[in-house]
Amino acid sequence: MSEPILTINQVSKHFGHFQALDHLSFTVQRGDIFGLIGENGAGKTTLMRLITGLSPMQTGSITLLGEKAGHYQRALSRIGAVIESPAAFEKLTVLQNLRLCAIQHGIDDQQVMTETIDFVGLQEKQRTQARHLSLGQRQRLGLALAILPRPDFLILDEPINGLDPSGIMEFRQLLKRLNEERQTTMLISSHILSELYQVSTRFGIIHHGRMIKQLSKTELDQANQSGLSITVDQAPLAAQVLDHNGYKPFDVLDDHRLLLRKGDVDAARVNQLLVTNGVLVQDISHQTGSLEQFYMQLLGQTEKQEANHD
Amino acid sequence: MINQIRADFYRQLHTVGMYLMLAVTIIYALWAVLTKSVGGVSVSVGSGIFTKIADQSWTVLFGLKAANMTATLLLYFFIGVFVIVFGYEFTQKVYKNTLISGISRLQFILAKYLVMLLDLLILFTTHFAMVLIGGLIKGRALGGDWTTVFETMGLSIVAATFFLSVVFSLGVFLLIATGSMTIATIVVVIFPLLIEVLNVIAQWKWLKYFDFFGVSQSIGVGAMKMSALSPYIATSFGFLIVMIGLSVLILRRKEL
Repeated sequence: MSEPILTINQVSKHFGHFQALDHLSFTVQRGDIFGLIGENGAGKTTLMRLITGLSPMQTGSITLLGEKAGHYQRALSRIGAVIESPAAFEKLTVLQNLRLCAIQHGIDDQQVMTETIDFVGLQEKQRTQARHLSLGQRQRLGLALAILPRPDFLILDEPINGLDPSGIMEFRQLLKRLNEERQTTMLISSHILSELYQVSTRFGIIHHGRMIKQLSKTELDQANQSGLSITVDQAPLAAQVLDHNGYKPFDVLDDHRLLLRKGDVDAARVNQLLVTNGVLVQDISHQTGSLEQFYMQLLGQTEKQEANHD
Repeated sequence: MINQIRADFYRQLHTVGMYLMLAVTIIYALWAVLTKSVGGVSVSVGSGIFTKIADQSWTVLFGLKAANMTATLLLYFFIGVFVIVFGYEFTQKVYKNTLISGISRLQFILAKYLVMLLDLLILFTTHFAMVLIGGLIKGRALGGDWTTVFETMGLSIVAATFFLSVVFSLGVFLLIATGSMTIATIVVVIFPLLIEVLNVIAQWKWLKYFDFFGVSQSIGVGAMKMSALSPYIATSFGFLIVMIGLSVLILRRKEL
């Protein structure tokens, strides 16, 4: 049975006239790796800062591990987080920073620190001062500090920013191991879709502070299939024609565009069919699916809806 | 909160600055007592009195009383305590880790204040102990019985520690309110001078209650009767509570 770890309910936040979050709602279930996707300024970091109490709540409610934001008694002690950039005392070594974190959490077991350092792969740097670490090593230290108290829930804000390709791959493996070996639930934000896709089990897409789409990995895979992209004068009529002639499945993307989710379909035949049924075909082409394409398509639809509402 | 205090002490054990401050305190105290050098910052004490004190015949007890004057100058060294305890946490943005660990804002500020208080207690104890040792090394007469010597020393340590922590609480408030370590440090450093200048210009009688160093000195040298002390203590506690309260309030409402 699923158990909610984090429930965001109608959360809004504004800074002056800027609406950073607008009635945002979603739930992270135990065991999820929830990927929060959005462009820079979409509201991802603001949301994470609200969850961790670094930013005061305005409207809506956040329930974290059964406790309401603003009245967290124990919930925060059961989470780990790296918000914005990883912070550590510059003149302390990796080991000393971890020891300090262990004392803060009342952990006296040296073994926990050793295991954490091993886990994030900083064995060789444990006696290096934090200020002498590379960006990737700092990210690892940030993760180490966040996972040291063995949190039930981990919040990571753009964790792969600044990492090189091999660093990204290793970091991805670390997150997967945390989820699989320690059953740590995670909320991860990124604007690098392909990376989030590799680790996340659920996705939430934020745009202008609003959750415009939530979907599982399976749903994303389905939504992201390749097919025949058709631009016509009347999408509803084209849909009728395709449906009547057994061309399925397809999506009506907007008033003029459809995506026929069949890779091997003959574009010329579809063109002929539509034209003979009174549909004016403006463009027809095969497209290969990509996350970026799906994302951009979603943003396009949302912006169009927003424009229509205005 | 206890864990946070333990964590702060662990960090300080690995901070070179703390050892430097301890070394400076020892050297300064020994130098002042061995050479009979006296100086300080205060509204209520004129500069002529320092020369007068230096010219007198010193006993160990007199040295301890005179050290109350020199202790006011230690502010300029002990500002390091404020920087290490509060400043590092904010300039290196590590407070985020601390606050996410589940500690409340009030616990966070109180833990830090207590650490600062304990640090000052250790440093002032070192200062006055060195003055005592310096006087004995010089072969000076005790100037009273041992009970009086230790009472004077104890009172001086407690007064200097408490009143300096009151001044530092202003720094804590400014650091949290402005986010600027520079503003906080500068205001803390000029605070005693500011009080002195205001006293000269405005002649406000109530200003004496905010001359925390002056009160500290007066207690240490035994110039203030215990019966006259209550308004000074009340003002200091009030100031401290307001500064800590405002700091907690701002920390709760601020975007961190």
